[in-house]
Amino acid sequence: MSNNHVTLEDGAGGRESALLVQTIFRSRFGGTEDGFADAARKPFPGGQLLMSTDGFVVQPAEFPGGNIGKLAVCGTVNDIAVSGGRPLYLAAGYIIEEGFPLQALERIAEAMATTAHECGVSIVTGDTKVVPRGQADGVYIHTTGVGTPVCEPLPPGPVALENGDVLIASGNLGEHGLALLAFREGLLDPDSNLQSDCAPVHRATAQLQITLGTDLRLMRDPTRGGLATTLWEIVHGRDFNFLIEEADLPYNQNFYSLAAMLGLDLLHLPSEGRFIAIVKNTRVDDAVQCLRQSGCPDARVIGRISKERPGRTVLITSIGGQRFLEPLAQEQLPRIC
Amino acid sequence: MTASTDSVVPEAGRELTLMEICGTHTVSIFKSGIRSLLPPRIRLISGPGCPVCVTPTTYMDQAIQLAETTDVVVMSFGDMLRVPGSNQSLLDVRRNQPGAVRIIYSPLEAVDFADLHPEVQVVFLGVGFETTAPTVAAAVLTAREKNLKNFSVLCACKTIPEAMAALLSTGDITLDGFILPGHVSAVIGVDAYRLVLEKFQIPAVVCSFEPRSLFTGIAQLIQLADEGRTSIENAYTAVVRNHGNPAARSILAEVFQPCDTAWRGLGIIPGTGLELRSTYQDFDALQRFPELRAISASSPSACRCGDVLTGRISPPECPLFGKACTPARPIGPCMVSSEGTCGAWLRYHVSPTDQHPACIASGNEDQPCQTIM
Repeated sequence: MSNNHVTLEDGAGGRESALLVQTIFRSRFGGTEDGFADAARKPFPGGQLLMSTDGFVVQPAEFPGGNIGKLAVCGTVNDIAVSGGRPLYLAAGYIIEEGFPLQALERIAEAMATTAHECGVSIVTGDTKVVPRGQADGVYIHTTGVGTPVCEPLPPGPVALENGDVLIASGNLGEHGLALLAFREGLLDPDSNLQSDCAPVHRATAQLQITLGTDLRLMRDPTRGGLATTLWEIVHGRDFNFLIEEADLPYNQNFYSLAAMLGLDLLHLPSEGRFIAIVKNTRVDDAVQCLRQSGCPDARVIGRISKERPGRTVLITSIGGQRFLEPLAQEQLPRIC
Repeated sequence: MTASTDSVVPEAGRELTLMEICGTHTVSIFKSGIRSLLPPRIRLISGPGCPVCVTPTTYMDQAIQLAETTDVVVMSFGDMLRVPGSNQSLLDVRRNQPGAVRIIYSPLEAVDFADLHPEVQVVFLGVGFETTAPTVAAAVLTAREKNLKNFSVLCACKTIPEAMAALLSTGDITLDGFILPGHVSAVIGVDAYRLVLEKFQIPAVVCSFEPRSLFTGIAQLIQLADEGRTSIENAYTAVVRNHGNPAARSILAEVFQPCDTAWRGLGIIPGTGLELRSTYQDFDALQRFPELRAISASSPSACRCGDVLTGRISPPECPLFGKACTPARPIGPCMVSSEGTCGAWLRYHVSPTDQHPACIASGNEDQPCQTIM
């Protein structure tokens, strides 16, 4: 926030975003005591309801690996999934700029229908508005989803974390963010083999929950701000930290090289088809095997919980040194040389 | 020392102060955790090798004035956008006028843009060292070929070897060795340093950026210094030759000539700037927009970037570090550039005496760290 207006940094997903949400919204709304979890869990007649909502403003609306529609379904499905839920129903709202091509809108809607069907969810209600040319950027989509717990009790969250708990990543990091950025800058073709990783993760998360019970402490999906920001959200202000092994971080080699050339860091770029899980250390083999058998062949251990540097994430580098891994403070700007 | 590297640096020995000059080395050394692997007797300081950091405030104010001029589009490498001028940054200007400032990856994109948009004046911010300067020269040559009347460069390219000599001549700092830049050396060659360094009898090693071989290069330098040898060696032979890249240097010589220029923190160093030769004066933004010459700014008085850049102090010794000056609210470019020493130190440095850094990064050590989730 700057003087009296909202800035782009407020939407980047790191500290500034958290501050905006806290000071403007959370301070006024009741019912958000869950904190910055990916979905709300509320009592509901007959059990618990999980509910999540998300806005999608991606530019451009169509990109290698998908479009804003597929993203809108996967994003909300995944938020419910990593919170321990089985997603059931989605609502979808559209704000469309006058002049947006109908064929593109059809492709977007088709992608939503296909993805919803693959996920086993139904889009049951929605709303559509059209605004005059220039008052929206193509199309914005907002989805809200509801689901029920896969099993109970649900993953307990950061309060249950213990020294020595293990951090697992379900697959390669940062691909959606880099593919989008590179495509937008004209560095990739629409049919490039460097694509967004946009995909639903709910089957893998459900299997993990069923297999581990409460030995699964929590799950998160590293979207805006990337893994570094997600880790910060978990440890910030608490008495434990993450120790991450840089040599174990999963990357696609082509993405890694592209990021290095552009001076960008995959750890600060969003994934839209990956999640992290923190599990009790005695169950780590069960967890990794479960994930690899549930559509996450690249799942692996990337670090653990420690108490040495409370509130931070420490990266053990490929040559055995140490440095901090910080959340995204501002949008990444490519370097000079 | 339990590093998974091929080299060993002895724990015992005399205290050594080594300077790395290249901003990318500063960040690579931090990101690879090398600082945490060196014994306490080795002090690594960062020199003036971040081109953004050594650009004076006057230049930023000139760039900002251009961006605010109607029908002028300023095109720049991304790293320049967050650097504060006297009152604001280029990023602030871009917020209000998105088309006035654009980020590009290569100066040739600015030439292409000018070619496609004859209705605007395109000014490229030519900031960088010998790695970047040849591409700026190539852009000028291309603009000449296309006979463009709407392309110019606000020149601030600088050269390294004489700056190193100036640093050593101040007598303010004692250095036991230099970690020489990787890509600058690829252009100018290892031989370019011999004249400068032999006068001062200091060892130096050209190093790469990959963690393992960078560590090896630094270990090599430490060994030279421990043994009292003053040779200049190359640990980046894959890319760097003794004679450098003659083709790149000839493009440079065609378009640019040396001039005196101001370095933030070092003042004016004779012969370390690059200005356009008279044949290419048309492409000099200062010629095209002479009103820019009236701009003169000074750095904020409390800012110690100059002392950090010359290795006189380390970042935590600046009273503004992590308090009034943070990546979110920077005072000087060392904090805001992705290759600035202060930004790297704040983001990456793990030391035994670290305070709870969430408080430091928020700029207010008294504020309790609130859980917000």
